[in-house]
Amino acid sequence: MKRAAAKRPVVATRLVVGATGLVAIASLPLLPYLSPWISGFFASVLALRLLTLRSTQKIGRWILVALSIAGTVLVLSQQHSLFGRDAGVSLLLLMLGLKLLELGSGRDLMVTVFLTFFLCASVFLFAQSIAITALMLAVTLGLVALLSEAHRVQPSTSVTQPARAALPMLLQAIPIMLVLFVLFPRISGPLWGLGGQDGRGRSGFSDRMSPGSISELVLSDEIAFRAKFVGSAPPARQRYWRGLVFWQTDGKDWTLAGGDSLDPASLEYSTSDAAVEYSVTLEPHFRRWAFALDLPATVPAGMEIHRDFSLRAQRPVRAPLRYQMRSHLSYNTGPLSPDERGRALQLPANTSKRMEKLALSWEQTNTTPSEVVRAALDFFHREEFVYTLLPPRLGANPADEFLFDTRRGFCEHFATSFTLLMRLAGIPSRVVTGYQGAEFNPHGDYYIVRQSDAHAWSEVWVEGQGWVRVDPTSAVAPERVEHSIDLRLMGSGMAVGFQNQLGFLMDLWRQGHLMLDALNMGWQQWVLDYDRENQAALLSRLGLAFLDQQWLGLAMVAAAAAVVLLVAFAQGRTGNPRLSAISRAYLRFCGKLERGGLAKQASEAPRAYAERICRKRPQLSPQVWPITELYLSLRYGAEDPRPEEVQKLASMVRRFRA
Amino acid sequence: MSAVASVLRSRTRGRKSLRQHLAALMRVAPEEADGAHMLRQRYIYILPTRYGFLYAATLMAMLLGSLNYASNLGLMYTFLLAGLGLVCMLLTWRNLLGLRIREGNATPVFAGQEAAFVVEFENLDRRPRFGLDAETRRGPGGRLDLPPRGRRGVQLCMPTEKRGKLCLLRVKVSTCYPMGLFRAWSYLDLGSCCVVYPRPAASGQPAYAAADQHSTPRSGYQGAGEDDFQGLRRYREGDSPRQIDWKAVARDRGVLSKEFGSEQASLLWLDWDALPGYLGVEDRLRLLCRFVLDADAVGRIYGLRLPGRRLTPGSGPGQRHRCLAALASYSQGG
Repeated sequence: MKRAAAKRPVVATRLVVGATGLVAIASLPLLPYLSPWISGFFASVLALRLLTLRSTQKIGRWILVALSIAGTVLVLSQQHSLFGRDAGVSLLLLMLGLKLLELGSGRDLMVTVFLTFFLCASVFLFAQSIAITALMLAVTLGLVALLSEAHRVQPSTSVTQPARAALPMLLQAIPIMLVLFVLFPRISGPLWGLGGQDGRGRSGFSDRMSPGSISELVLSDEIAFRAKFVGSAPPARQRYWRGLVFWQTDGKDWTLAGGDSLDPASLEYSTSDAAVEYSVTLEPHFRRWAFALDLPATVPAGMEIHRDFSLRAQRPVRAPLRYQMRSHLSYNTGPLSPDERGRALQLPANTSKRMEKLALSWEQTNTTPSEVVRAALDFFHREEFVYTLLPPRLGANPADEFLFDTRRGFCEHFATSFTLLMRLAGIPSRVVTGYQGAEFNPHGDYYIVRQSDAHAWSEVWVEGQGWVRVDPTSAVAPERVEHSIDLRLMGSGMAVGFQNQLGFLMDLWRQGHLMLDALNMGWQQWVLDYDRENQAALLSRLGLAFLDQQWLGLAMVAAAAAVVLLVAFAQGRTGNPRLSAISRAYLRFCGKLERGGLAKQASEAPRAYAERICRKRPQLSPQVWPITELYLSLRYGAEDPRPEEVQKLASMVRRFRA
Repeated sequence: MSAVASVLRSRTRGRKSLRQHLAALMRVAPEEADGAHMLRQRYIYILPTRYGFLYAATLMAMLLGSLNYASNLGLMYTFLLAGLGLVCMLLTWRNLLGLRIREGNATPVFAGQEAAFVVEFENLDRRPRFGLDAETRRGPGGRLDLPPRGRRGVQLCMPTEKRGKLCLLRVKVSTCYPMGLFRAWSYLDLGSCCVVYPRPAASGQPAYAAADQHSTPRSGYQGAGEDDFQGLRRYREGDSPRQIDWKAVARDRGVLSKEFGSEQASLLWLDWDALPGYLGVEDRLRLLCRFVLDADAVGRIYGLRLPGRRLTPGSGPGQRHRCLAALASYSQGG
């Protein structure tokens, strides 16, 4: 190898350009995650590489040293560390850039390609979509093509030639990959503490709700979770996905402070219907909230439940989390403890006279809490309240301003002001946030819940019924509860119903999206979420349930070896069987002559051998010459010997007698 | 078993270097009936290169990273690359499998020059083979690509020091295509040899009397007597082209050679015994080699007399080779 490197001291320019291009493509998905300074530094190093392609002089060692020091300082100043995911990737890019700059020997090329492989793997720590995966596979194909090109003697005549050499290699590697992926013994949890990721750029609920926080959330089209029902799904107006329950307010914000204690006993409520069974696949949101239909009846493993029926994961959800759930849609939660009653009637200091008067009027004209609730909903319905994503800005007392002045708001405005009015009327109440609705995906038979389905509603406690859900938004915009909102229409101020008239095109677009989501769901379920449980389930379906973790490793090695053998066998069939048939026939001919005392000399060419035979045994001449000539023409003649000619040679040899 | 036994036997016989022991253990691809050496499964060795180990280390780092960050996609990618490495191993091995190699001819050289052996590679398969290396333990090797069903030669050079016969050392044919992660190799004993003429003495040597017994002793090869045209005779193998009567050829009178001077007078005998007695064997051979070259250069007819051997006079490339080969293979015994 030393000799090979010495013989080809300079890596060909086309290889340098190829490597630089592939590194650039591989680093593209990382751009949003890197600081602009580091991206800029990396881009200028790549540009420098391409600009100095033609120069015969190598870039000086001191320039490389200066650049690497500058880069390290840059990473330190931007990331404040040299370890961890972000800093690690920044350093990797830096190293790659510098390696490209000094790309001189075959050794540098190999190291560059290996580093780029590593870069592709690091990209998957940031982005995991199908598109990114396809891009990384394309880069990998390019890298393999680059290596195979570097190990040839003559350069290829076209760019596609090395790619065509690399493609079968990747295809043959796929079965090996699948076996390793399926059988590799899984561990749960990170190997060491570096696994933490921040939730930057992720949308979701926070532990504080203020006017505007949900309308912000609803702007995101991101998927919150997917749900698959066993049997039929409940109707749209029943699909309230409970998330957080807020008791405490200071008149402006609602917080989780003073929330309910953990209490698995709270699941003991009376119900009159059969449970709805479903599974939820929660997207990572880096918080502990988990969602279930009102009201949850079970607590999945790894989760806990509060007395107010809000579900929490025991650890922040950093990876997609899948759990089985059961819920009852009709329920009676029973009596209220004095402590709960106190918290459910907590009032902020800034309630206004107008609000108190309004609540008092309801309390006086109605006798039961249910009638008070109906009166309040009537109020929202009757007065000129507008349901909009773009409400006017509110001041220090948002509830009062919303109720009497602006009257334009989103679900959180309705829910919070309604709850406050109930408390003023002496009815225990609280605010619940979560999601309302879900989009059905017929291609995968499951429901998609997006951030745009985020919603807020109220719960009031009624004697004899327990906590009852009241959704004041439905009094203003009943369609919100029946359909998901279409943001594009909401934003432009169009009526929700209008979307039906756009008809066909809209539908087509939606169908395409749903199909894509089904693909993503499969990707999520079978690739990204594949874990110890999936593995165990798959193994037991294959009848291999007896394989525990240690034996699994052994089974993986054995299965991989078997697949490698299969691949080797498949490769063997790419040879030319006719050519070996030709050689076999001629060797048989030689064997017959050898037994007849005319062994072929090693150095003798076929024609010279034939001449010698004919000198010694002239009677063999009419047989020997046709065989020799046919053999030579098949062997060194046409690009692809015709099968009938090969057969003819074989039969001539068979009839031949020395 | 037998290989181990042979090592044990060789140990009792005499000291061998470790390299020789290993070489004895190695299987060497044998010659087939049609004279080619075919690289079959059992003659191909394969081991990872240092880049292969570096690749494995990279994959290990990727595996640990993916496990730590619980990245299934990273894990999958790591496994894809692992599969790629294994496929690469198979392909590297296949790149040699079924390759056929023949010895080519080697033109004679003078001691001190590089002997160039042509080794011919043949690909019977429909797929091309790339990046094939051929080398011996000494001297530079060659690299080549082989098109589908193609044949190509590659030159292997070996430095020469002594006159005599130089046989091509064991040839190592190897490849690390496609990714350089593995190197597969085979050993071949092609058995082709090259005649190494003695290293000629420097030209312009004082010409010792390489005496001509039948005429007055002449000093060296002066007095060629080329002016004295004697007549024509039938062409004999070994005649210099400048002796040929090209006009006669043109007139279809057959190939005739011109004879100059008296055959006796111009006939030059290069005689071992005529050289001064103080010269050693090798010096004599080198001197005679120089005389042969000079006589050939001017187209003289010359003969060579060595102790116990006499080469009849002649001229031209044939005579030159016969004389130089005789000098190359001269041994004191006979």
